[in-house]
Amino acid sequence: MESTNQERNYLADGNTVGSWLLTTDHKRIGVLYLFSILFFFVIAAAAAALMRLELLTPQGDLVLSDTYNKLFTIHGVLMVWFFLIPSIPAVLGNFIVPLMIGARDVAFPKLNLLSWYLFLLGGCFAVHAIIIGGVDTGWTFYTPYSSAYSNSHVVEMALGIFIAGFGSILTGLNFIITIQKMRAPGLTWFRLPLFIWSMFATSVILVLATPVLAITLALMCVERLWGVGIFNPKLGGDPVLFQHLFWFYSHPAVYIMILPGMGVVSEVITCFSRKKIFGYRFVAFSSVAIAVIGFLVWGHHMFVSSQSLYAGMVFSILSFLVAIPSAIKVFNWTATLYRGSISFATPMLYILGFIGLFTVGGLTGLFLAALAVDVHVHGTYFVIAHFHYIMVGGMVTAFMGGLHYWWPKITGRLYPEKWGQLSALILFIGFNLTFFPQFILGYLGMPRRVYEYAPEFQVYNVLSTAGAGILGVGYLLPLVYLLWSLRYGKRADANPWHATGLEWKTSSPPPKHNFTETPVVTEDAYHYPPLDEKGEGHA
Amino acid sequence: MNRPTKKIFVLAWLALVVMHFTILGSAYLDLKSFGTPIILVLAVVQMFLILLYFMEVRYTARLVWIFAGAGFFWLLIQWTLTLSDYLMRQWH
Amino acid sequence: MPEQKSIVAEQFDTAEQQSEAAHLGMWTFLATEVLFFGGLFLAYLVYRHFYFDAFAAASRHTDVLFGTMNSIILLTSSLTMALAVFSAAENYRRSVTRWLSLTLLLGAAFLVVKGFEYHKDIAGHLVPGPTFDPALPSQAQIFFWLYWTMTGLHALHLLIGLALLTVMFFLARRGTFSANYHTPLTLAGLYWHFVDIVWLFLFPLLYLVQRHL
Repeated sequence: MESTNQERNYLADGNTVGSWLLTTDHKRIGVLYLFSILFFFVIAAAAAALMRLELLTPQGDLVLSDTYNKLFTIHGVLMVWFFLIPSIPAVLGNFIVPLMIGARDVAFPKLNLLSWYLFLLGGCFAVHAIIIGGVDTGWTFYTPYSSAYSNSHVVEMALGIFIAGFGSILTGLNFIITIQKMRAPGLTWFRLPLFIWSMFATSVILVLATPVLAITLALMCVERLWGVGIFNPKLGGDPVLFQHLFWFYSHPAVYIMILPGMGVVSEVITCFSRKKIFGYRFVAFSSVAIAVIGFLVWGHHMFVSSQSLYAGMVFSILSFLVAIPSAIKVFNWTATLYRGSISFATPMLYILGFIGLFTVGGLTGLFLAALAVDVHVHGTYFVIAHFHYIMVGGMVTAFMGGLHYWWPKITGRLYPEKWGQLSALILFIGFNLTFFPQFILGYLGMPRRVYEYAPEFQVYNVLSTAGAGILGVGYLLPLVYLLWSLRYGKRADANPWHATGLEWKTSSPPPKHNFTETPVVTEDAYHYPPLDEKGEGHA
Repeated sequence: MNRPTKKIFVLAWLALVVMHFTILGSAYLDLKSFGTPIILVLAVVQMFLILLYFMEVRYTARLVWIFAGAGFFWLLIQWTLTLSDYLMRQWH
Repeated sequence: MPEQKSIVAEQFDTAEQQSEAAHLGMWTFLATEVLFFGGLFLAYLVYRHFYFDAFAAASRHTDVLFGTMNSIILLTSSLTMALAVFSAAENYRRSVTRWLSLTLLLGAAFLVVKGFEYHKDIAGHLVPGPTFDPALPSQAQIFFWLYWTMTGLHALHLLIGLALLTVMFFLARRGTFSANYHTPLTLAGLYWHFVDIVWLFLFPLLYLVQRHL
């Protein structure tokens, strides 16, 4: 829709390369991130595809074992740092957060652009490291293999992650200040949409955890370059210290990856149940609790590392505790659905998938948090299945849901709904077929990160690879029809979903400065009109 | 008080310098197991002097206190849990 | 000279909002720096726990004179920095540049002293690796890589601080700062004081492990 005011929408406002590459408009930066993470996702997915092909047969016959090691490293590094961590925060967060709070932009727009360039620069180093031969340490860079024995391009890869990390710190910093200081008049903390609570909690983690990753990678490189005994036992160092430092960041990192997804769920589920969220404060505080408790559990990655047994017990109990706020959210979302007027639009399908898949992932996390069980399944496909249920079944699904939900706002176009629903279904089926067999594999003892396996595991591996093929289709379809919609999709009006939220009060796409007048908020979030006995609301 | 005065800055500086030499001096005395804690406590006091007066945290809103404290609090989490691993290994 | 009004960036509604946002932003950044350095301090604590005697022996090879000189230099530079911000807030424009140049001088002096100290350390075979002093226990090398990394990272931050203060100096000379608007100066000051705080902990931990023996 043409904006009726004088300001052009943000997409039309300048179409030179320079106007995009030097933009400080948070909406354009969000779009830039979208294309960047897509690039890295494709590489990482290709690596996974090769791995799954190799695993069709028990023997190592497609690639060399060294190559396989490099494939799972590439897959992990790119997926974690160059796809998942930026995905919702840098793409949807950048675009939506200022709109949702009624602001004209983030607090520090130039810093925002810098973040993107740091992300790209880091990505350049990472991709270059891959091109010149790759890294074979796994995304976890455990010492002393990474710092003393590996013959691969560890330092360059670490440098890429280090630089990208600073980009994400700045993004987190920007969101914290934006949310703290730039809310529209009347928008008190407890009137904020829950997506904002999630983004705030995520940003706190980004800001406090990522610096530790930075120093850890730096120390690993120091050891590698100068042969000093930091983490290498041969030189007096302690490899477990590396793991403490690494996981102090990397466990909270997984909450960086899932909290934004949970935020999306709260937005979509209320809209497509036409109901306010059940237990707003519980969900809001749960985001904070996840962020805080999430910092206290990292030792559960180290149960079998020679960490003290008593420390293990402490970490185990804390890991059970951290599941509680997540469970509260799942209960509250379910209660939101209850007696709602539910429609199965594409975003809702993804989000319903999220709830089921995240629950499975979360419950299997509890299995892993139990010390005795973990001894059995640590280092097996059980762990892989667990975190893919959360990361892919949870986070990527939520990302797809959010992308579809806000697509009309971002692009001013509607995607073809039937294709959206079909893709969501294909993704769900493909995902489960890929990863459920892996729970069984892990429990039966198949180790992770190895390119050959005992023959009795073959049937599950074949199922998993078949699922991966279907999953791939589930990703490819949206890529095609979303791009198609940019040109041929029906034009969207300001609020195609009739959702609450300030972002829907401005045109689709929004004008450069978001609002013609700063909105004033007088109502709670999700103020959908009450449903009558027929389950219908009245506008 | 809305702002620190010049006098406060100079006094704080004097206190910092005096504490520095106290720290230095105490390092050369055999204070048994109290030596290190005393030195570290003094260093922490020095840090608070800088935070409260030079960085004017004493004169700023509560919100800043939270932001200023957050980093240290999180550091404490990291140190406590990690060191407890190392210390608890001795119980095996 | 007429009072400089601060220019309010388009995303902010008022100058006050902009200033508060900038302050909080800098404090958030400093929190990240605390965690960044914190990892090194943790490594120090762990290895000091494991290898106390080696650490004590190694620490006695650091130069307390250089260390103390640098401590006093840095503490004084924090004073001059605070006075620079104070002058801006009181509209004593010329004093701002004066105090800033003093701070820059002291900061540079710190690096010069450090240079001499590093030179002495290298000549004294205190660099971990093949040239390390064989008279010291091998775990002393762990102390020293921590020493070089921590003081090196600190010096790097100080250097960045000097660059920042140089920019502030030129802005001050142009009359940019006034009682109404001196946010960048205050924020630069916060960063500078942070660098000072890090040194406050580096000094006793590296130079004073067990001096009484």
